[in-house]
Amino acid sequence: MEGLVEGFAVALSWQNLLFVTLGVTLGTIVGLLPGLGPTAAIALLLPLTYSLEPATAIIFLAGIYYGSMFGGRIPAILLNLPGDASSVVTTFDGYPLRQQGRAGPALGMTAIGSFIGGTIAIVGLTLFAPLVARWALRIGSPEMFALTLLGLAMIALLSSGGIAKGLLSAGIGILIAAIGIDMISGSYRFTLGVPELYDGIGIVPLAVGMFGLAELMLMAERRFRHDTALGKVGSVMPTRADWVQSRMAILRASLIGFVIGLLPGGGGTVSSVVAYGTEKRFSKNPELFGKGAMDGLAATETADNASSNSAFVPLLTLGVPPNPVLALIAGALLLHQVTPGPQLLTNHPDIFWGVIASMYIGSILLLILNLPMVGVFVQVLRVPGPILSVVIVTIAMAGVYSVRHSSFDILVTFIFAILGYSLRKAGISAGPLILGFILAPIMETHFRRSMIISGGELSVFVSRPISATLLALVVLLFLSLLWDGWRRRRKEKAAESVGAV
Amino acid sequence: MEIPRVEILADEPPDHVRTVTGPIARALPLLVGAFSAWIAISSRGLGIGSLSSPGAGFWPFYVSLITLVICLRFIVPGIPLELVSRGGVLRSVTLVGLFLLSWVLFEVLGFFVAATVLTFGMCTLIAQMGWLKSILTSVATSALTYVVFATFLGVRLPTLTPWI
Repeated sequence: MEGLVEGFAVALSWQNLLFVTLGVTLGTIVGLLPGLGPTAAIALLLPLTYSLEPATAIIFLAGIYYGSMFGGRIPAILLNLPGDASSVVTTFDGYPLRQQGRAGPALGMTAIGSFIGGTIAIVGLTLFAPLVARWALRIGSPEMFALTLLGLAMIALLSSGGIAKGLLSAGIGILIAAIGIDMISGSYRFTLGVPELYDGIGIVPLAVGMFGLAELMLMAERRFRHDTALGKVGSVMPTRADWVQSRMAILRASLIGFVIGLLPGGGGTVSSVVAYGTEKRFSKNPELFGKGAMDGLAATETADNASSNSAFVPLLTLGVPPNPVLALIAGALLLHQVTPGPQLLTNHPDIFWGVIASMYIGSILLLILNLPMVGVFVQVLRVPGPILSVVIVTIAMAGVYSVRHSSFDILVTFIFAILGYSLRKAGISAGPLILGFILAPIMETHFRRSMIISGGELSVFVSRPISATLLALVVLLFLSLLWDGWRRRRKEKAAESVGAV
Repeated sequence: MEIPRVEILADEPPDHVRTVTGPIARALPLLVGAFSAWIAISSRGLGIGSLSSPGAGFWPFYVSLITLVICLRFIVPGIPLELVSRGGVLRSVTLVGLFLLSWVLFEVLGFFVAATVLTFGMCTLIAQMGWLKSILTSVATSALTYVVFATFLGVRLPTLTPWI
């Protein structure tokens, strides 16, 4: 408690208060732009921190981080354009809600769910950081492999079009992720000697192409005229019914997001996916998931923000950045001669507790800033379709280029736009593909490590209780769907034979 | 227990949508199958290793085999494609052509020219906007994007000259 009070004293200094506000605002604006997510936002704004004090620099970057995480939700809901990987799941129900004319309540629920999830996570972080860090050390590669496999399976097996199409989509994503350098052996894979492929396919060109520009290609069929039958957008506040539907989802997702955010590699995407799948099982209306389920949207946003905050635990207490964004923040700490890890709390308590205190402040600022401003963003829907389309494509082109300053990435974006369009026409969901792409490096690394550590014994995955449980869930899900499909085909055959008679 | 399916990014099709089968329906699974086969063959060259010491090709090899098996399920029957209208497909193909043209122009002439040509083509050829409105829209959008990225985000987009 004394440490937290000291942290607030640091965070509430006029300079740090200014920078956390600036960070949240800049992060939201930059995260809102299609093609630019937290990674690009942090990378672009990192040079600005060189002249700042270490505590201020990290507080500023932390503000950008969770501001941009929220900002990415806005185009995901309004335009079906995920600003980053973790907002892909937002599009599942956020965009359908927008199509139903409920963009306002969707954005409002996003802000509220994010605030509640973030606040619960920050309280948890404050109270349990040392305990959680010790527990997280018990999670090894077999458990991480099983967790990522479960997350991917839940999306692939439950996607539209059937099990085979979902698995096909996931397989494509996993294979695309294999292009580039192998992190364990250092050898280049499937690069065809093209230097631009040595670092692999970037997530930004893939996501912008598959979701953003593929959507433009679909809109081109209708001359970019977007659906005007949205009705009145109305208030951004969710209704009482929305709140009743979502309150338990928010609570469950907060806990799920907090736990998963602690795990290496278990960032926003995994927590959103697991929370979404979990909520679908608990929901009274699971058939609405993917068609505008407010509790589904609330679950993903809450889990994502909760994990965004709890992800600081492994960074601050173990020195292990759990995702690329926090790796940049770790780099910023090192630049200021501050080494994250178990010694941070004892050697630099002002930085440790200052960051945590700034999260409380940033969380409140997100709610104060985004709820009133949401109505401004909703006005984007009034812009004529062709105008919106040309704005999207130019910003996407510039945004994709800005990540690696590579025109090759623009070509990659266009190629994935064609692939995304083709998949849509074939009734194959792009969700498993992009999630397979994101999770594949984590899965492969942990699988190979597990095999090396166990001496090639596959039983390592079932001899450890946590990984065994997670794998059992995957198998159970697969068998349930097969059984369900078999029963459905039997009923259809029976109905046909009765009809023939 | 019924397991409801998640409709991900599945818009409700309009009434005039029809499904296309035949040879074109096999194109996608054939392409994916060819890609998977290439990955599998290339993986062997990287070295698969063993379970106790997986090589660089281990993971992509087995994933590509699984993907290839799934593709085989679709190659013979094909995957029916949703067709809105012939004109709609042509407009999408036109947009692809504009994408590729803009990439070439980006390489040679920089962002502003590439973006202006791309957006002008979108406005005139696809959206059927008037010439003047299309020129104004494309130039304004490209210029504004350039200024925002250069001024506020510090991203220097490539240009042909200091002025364009």
